[in-house]
Amino acid sequence: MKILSPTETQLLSIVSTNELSGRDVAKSFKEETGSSISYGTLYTTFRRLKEQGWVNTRDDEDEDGRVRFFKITGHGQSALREARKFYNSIANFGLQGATA
Amino acid sequence: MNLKEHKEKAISSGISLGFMVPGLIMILLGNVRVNGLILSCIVIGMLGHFVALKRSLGELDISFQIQSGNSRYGGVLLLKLFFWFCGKENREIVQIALADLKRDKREMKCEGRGFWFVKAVILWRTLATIIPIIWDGSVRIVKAILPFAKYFKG
Repeated sequence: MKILSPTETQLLSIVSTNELSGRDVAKSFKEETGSSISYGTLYTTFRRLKEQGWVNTRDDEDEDGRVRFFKITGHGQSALREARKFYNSIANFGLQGATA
Repeated sequence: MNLKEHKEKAISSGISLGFMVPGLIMILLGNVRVNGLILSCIVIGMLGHFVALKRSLGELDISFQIQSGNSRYGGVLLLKLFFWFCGKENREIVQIALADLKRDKREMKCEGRGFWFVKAVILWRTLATIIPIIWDGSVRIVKAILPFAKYFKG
């Protein structure tokens, strides 16, 4: 299975609990990470995630125009678990010997 | 567009066609030398063409329901122009990003931000939207071409 990139992991984590619009995802991303994400990066990343079958999208419309909502799929949940395990193993690499 | 704008567009298009096109055709056919009269015809025609183009750009918002007031914010206009260079998938992204930028703009106005601040932020966010789309498209093209690259080796 393809390992998610850090940005993909963060975006999948944000939509893992609720269905959110792109703009809300961008706001949550800023709150969580402290750095902003552009709409271009956000929507192209979600397009890649959708192609992998890791997120579902739903389009809606309000007075300002189109809104796209994102929600994680079952495959997305397992990919997110794998990615978290992978990044945790990297973060903990070599620490076991140091604490012993 | 209202009736006055339609009239302006029709007149400018008429000037454009009536002056510039005959002037250019005459030069292209080589029947006459470029003299002051033909040059002024071309200049007047180009001005008319410019006005007609400006009016046409005003009509771009028909497809995504953006009011003409947004054209004060250069970034939005830039994104509208970018829209026409994109494929179908990217057009969807641009439409959604445009709507998001519109919401951002309204939010900033409600916060009492100044005109130039809003303009600068929108322009920055527009560029930050366009560049990843171009980058993503380029990466996709390279990925599509790479499998064929081995046939050209050696």
